[in-house]
Amino acid sequence: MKRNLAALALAAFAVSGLSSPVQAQSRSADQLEAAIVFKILKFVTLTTRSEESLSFCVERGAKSAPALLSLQGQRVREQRLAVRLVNGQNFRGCDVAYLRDTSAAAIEKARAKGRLVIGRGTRFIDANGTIGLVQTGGQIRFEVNLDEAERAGLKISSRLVRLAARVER
Amino acid sequence: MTSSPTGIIASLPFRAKLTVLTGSSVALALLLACFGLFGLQFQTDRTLASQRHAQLASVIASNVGPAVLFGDHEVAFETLASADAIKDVHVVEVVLNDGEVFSQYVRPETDPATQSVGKELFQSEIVIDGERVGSLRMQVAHRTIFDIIAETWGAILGLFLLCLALATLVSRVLNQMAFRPIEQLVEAMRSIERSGNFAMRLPPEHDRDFAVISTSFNSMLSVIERSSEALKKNANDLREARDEAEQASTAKSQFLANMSHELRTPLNAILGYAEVLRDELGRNGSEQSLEDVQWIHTSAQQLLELINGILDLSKIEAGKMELDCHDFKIGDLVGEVGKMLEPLAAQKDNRVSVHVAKDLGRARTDSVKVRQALLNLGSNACKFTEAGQIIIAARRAGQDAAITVSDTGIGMSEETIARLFEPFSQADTSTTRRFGGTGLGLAITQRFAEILGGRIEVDSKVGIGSSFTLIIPLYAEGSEGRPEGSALMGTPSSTTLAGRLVRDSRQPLALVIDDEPSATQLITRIAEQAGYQVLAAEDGASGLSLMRQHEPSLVLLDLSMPHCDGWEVLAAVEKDDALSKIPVVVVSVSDEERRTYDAGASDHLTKPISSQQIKEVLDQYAQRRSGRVLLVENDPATAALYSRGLQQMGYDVSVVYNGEAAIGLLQSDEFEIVVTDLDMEGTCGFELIENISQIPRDARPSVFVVTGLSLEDAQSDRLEDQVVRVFAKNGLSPRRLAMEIADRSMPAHPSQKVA
Repeated sequence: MKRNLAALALAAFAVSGLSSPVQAQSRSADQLEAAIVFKILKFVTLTTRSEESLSFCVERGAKSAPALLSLQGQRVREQRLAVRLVNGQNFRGCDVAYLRDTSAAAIEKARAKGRLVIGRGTRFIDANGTIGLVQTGGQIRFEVNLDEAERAGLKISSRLVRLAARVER
Repeated sequence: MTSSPTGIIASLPFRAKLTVLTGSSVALALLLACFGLFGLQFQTDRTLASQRHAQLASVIASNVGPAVLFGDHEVAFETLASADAIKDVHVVEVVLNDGEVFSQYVRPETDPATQSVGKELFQSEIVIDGERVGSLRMQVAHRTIFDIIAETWGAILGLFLLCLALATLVSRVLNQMAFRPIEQLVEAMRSIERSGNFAMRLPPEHDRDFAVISTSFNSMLSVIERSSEALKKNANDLREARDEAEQASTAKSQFLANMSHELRTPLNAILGYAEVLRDELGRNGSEQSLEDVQWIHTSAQQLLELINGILDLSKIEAGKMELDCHDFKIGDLVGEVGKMLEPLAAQKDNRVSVHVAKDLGRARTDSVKVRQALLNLGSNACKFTEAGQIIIAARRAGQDAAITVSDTGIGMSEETIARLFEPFSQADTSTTRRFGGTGLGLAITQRFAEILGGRIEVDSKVGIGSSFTLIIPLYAEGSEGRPEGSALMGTPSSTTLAGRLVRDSRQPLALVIDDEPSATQLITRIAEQAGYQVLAAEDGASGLSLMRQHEPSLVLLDLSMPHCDGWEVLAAVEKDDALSKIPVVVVSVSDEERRTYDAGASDHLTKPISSQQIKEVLDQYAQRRSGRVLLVENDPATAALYSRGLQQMGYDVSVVYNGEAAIGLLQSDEFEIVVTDLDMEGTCGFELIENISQIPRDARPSVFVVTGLSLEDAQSDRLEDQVVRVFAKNGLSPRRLAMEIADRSMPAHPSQKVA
């Protein structure tokens, strides 16, 4: 019950975070990261398998998984987020894959046509991850690999690209 | 008047006025268009700026959205600062949903204190994925109308001037086109003015408006042409009619003059002989015959008055009656007329009273005609009144004298008054039978009044009386003029009938020069009665010959004679020193007195003359006078006239032309008589008289004054004690002057009887 309440509070926080600028220094890193991921999704055009939902798969064991799970049901454009935990790199049927393991092999395994691959680390996009989250001081920023996005058939808004800490192409 | 703009425009020629008006209208229209352009430019600029700024706000809002979403202030500011290129934008800011300003860009030159004053605020919501994350607010300072004008005035002014120049050019070309018909019209008018040719016409005009004008002008020319021809014809007819009328009038005047002369000549004889007969019958005591002769005389006198009236009337109507104006007291003249009327009034038991207003004063007009007019009116009043009153009242009416002759006689009806002044018109035939008269008196009187510049007013009631008012200007227009000669009346040629003369040295000799035997015999008869020997000549040439041969004491000369008339005789006498000493008295039907004086005559007696007049002349020259006379007269012609008259009387005359010379001469010589004018340059007559009065009484000459001045009462009083007599120069003949002086100075010495 406590867990559910905590999840609800986090979700509420995350939702409220959508309506206000992210204050990284005043919130926990995971929650902040989840919020950033959610915002990033708004600027990425995915070719989803379902028109109603967007399958967001979080590799089990990821540090920010709980926060990400709290995004369940949130709307991105016309679609609802269907957040679930997956074991290993079994990202079949996932439109978005959030990797715990950011090794090159794991990334390679997660890469697929039409799939957005997100993970942590400064070298994530260098290993062909699509969007990498990096922490700079108290801030969490992101990096974009446009070649990978293009290869996967994704369209990332230039406005998002303009905010990226680093862009790989 | 021409200093104001409207006055200047009004004074311009029509063409310039039209150009100015067209140019002004175009300039005004262009000016308004320029203002419109400024306004339109301003409006368009404002509209486009609003659209652009709204779009800009929208774009910036869209661009800044992710930065806001991700809390990226730096990117947000960069995005907002991208509006820097748009000068109108002064402030751009992102405001979050909670009102917090997330990022703000303020143009550096904007004053923070007034950054929102006078600026338009554009707002655009920042929406990410359908959710509002904040709003973008942009404050914009629009460009004012003055900014627009400052930015575009050069181009618009250039455009304005270009359009104005083009409009002026086009206006000039159009004006020339528009004025061409007017110029044709003006040219046609000038051509008509130069040539007077109303037959010319304007060519047909294509412009409908001008076609109306040219057609009307042509119609007007047609009318004028017809009228001009009709006028010419009428003028010719009138000229012919006038010429005919003038010929007829001349013929009539000539006829009347001739007739008058022809009638007066025998009448002269009738009257004269009647007088002679009357005198002789009176001496013989033949009472019955005396009465018969008196009737002849009276009837002849009436006939003479009638003829004189006709002659006066014909003279007036022929325009030959002239004014002889001089200065006189009009009140005195009225008084004289009253006295002259008294005997006539007394005949019908009437009383004459005269009233003269004190302010009437003097007049300068023809006193003879005024007197005659008043006598005519007065004698009429006497004639038509019995046992009543004749009142003559004279007063001043502004610049006129109004003299009313009223009576308590039979009066007149309105119908009578209407034809009162027509010649030969009397109230009715019974009036003529009852009262006599010719009916010419009032006609002549009225014409005299008109000649004098005045009129006659009549008021009358039957049985009550009549009132005639003569109104004449106190100062008549015109000046003294010498009467022109009446028509010369030809007579059959005659021969000199002068017989041989056995000269009796005890008797004075008179020479009668007249082509009319009856006149010659009448004068001869009277002269013989007066103790003269008489010599007669029928024409001037023989008369002159007799003058040279016998040197008569006196010549009685007719003017109208064949071969050599009286004028020629006078001219010949004037040139001959020996003859000029002989006094020549003109006896003629002509009344050109002044002309005869100027020609050298001593006097002028107008036929018919009375025996008394002839006797007076004969008596005067029957005895010569002696003595020295100093004649002081500044006018040489007048001096010569009077000098000759006095010399012919026997006086030794010295002439000087001013008072100084007279005083000088009086100091060196002795004179018995001084005859002086008053109005002279330098020492005037008054001073001379004053000077003479200082001479001791026994050596003092008798002083006579001959003057054209009208003397004031004070002057007359002053002269009264110093001079023997004052003569009015007007109409004073040399003989009359000599006679008056002779009568009032020393008596004729028996030894001075003419030999």
